[in-house]
Amino acid sequence: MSPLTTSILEQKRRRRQALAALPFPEKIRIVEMLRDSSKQIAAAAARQGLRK
Amino acid sequence: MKIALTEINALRQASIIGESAIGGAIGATFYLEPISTFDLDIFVLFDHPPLILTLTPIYEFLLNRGHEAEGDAIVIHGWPVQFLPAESPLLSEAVQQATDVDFEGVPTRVMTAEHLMAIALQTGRGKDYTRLLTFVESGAADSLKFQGILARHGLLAAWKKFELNYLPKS
Repeated sequence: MSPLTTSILEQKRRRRQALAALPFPEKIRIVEMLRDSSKQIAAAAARQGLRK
Repeated sequence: MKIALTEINALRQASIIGESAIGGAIGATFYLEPISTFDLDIFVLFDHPPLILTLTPIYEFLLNRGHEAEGDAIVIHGWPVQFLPAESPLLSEAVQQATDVDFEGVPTRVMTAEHLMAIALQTGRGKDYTRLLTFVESGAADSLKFQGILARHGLLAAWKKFELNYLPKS
């Protein structure tokens, strides 16, 4: 694995650690945003006939 | 979420349910990074379980308070809440030993990381294994406590298989 890829994976690991360390209510707000985004994507896909 | 948790506490105060605890993806989110999910899984015990287990009293109580049914969930302020009876010994123990948590002033309970891991192992779907791996990598769980749960609930062989298949050899 190249040093660049290793560095990127390490940054991802740190980002996940930082997210895990957030207070529970803050993490739930992120889950709510993820859920809303997923619904929008699914609705857009359905409108374009990409998904039933 | 705060309103959903308040309504769950109201169910307990009305003696419709006994102890309860958050499990599933939201429970895991307490310990890990936020996990995308559409519903809130609430595992419940009943103080006086009826001969035939039914969730109807829970649904009736919440529908009477203005919430709506969506499939087999009840939507409370945007959150589809799925009530699941903690029927197995593992689920029952997970509810009884859940951690007390304050969610913006609302008391609630979340299953321990070790119980969530054991339940994921027992459930055994792809997404459960993914979550289990995330727990292992995070170091959020107490290994001794986890091993104790595995032993008590006959999951040691399943864990050994999981280790062989998914965890890097040390």
